[in-house]
Amino acid sequence: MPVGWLADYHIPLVKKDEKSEVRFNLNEGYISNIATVENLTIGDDTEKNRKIKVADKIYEGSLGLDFFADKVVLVDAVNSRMYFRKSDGVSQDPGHNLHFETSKNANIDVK
Amino acid sequence: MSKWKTSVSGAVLGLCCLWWPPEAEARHSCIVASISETLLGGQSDTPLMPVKINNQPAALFLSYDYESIYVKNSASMNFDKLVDESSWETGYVLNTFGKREKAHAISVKTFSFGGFNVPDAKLVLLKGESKQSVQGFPVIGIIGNVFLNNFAVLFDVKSRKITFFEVKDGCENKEEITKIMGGDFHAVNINANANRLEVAARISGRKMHFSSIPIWI
Repeated sequence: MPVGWLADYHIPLVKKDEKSEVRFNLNEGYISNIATVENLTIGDDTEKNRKIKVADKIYEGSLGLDFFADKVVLVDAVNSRMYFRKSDGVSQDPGHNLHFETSKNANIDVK
Repeated sequence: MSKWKTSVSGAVLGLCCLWWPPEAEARHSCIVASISETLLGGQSDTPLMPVKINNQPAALFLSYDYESIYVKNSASMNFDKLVDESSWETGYVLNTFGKREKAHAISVKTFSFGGFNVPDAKLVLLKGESKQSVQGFPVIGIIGNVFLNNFAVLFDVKSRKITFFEVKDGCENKEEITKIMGGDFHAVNINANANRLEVAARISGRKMHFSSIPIWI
């Protein structure tokens, strides 16, 4: 989500100085910090101490692969409902960081 | 889009009995048909689905953050001969960073997924060449809302499975949903905002909207 939302919504963070991730998309880089929030509620599900990626060059919050990776999710766009639960599946291989927009990641420490 | 939707629905229609068990074909069933496919790639990859375009195998990403079906040329697939520069179907699209990019609307003879063919499918050809591949498939593009919004789509990234359900509009059958989800599950409403999907969320009690479901990091 946009890093500005932390201040706009007065969202307290559980941890400080978490690692940042540098993303490069179409040769334009940006830093996304990892922020741990007290809880994230979607529908009737609440996850405590949830890690969220915040970045300064995005303007919308979105449910990304971090949300989908360990869940079974049914997106019914026809009837405007989404259903989800934790997946029973066995973890697959880590993958190759393949995305439509060519990207590469690097982790840095924030002093 | 309506042509695309009609074509997809036509391809899917009548397949339910092959996959969906007979007891689900009850009087109040909301499901018309379903198709399952194995996802390619791994857990750090945007979900990738195997398809065939004009009978050539390829892989396409899946994301609700894109509107059409976008493809690029690759070493094994070239769409340039399908481009008509004089056509009104040559135009521009906005990329992720809001920059204009030249693109062409093209029509392919067949677009196949899950073993079923959609004739005369409309795709958008972007500039540049894709050099990615996964499990032997050239990764040539991405499938967006024009396709995904026609279905209820079940993603199980961990089990590498995706299922497309053709469902009735305005229909909800909790028993079917429970059967599909296979355990205790949560539900939330989706709002369509300019053809993009929004989900309401609360972070530490503060209400906000996640304005799309891109299935993308």
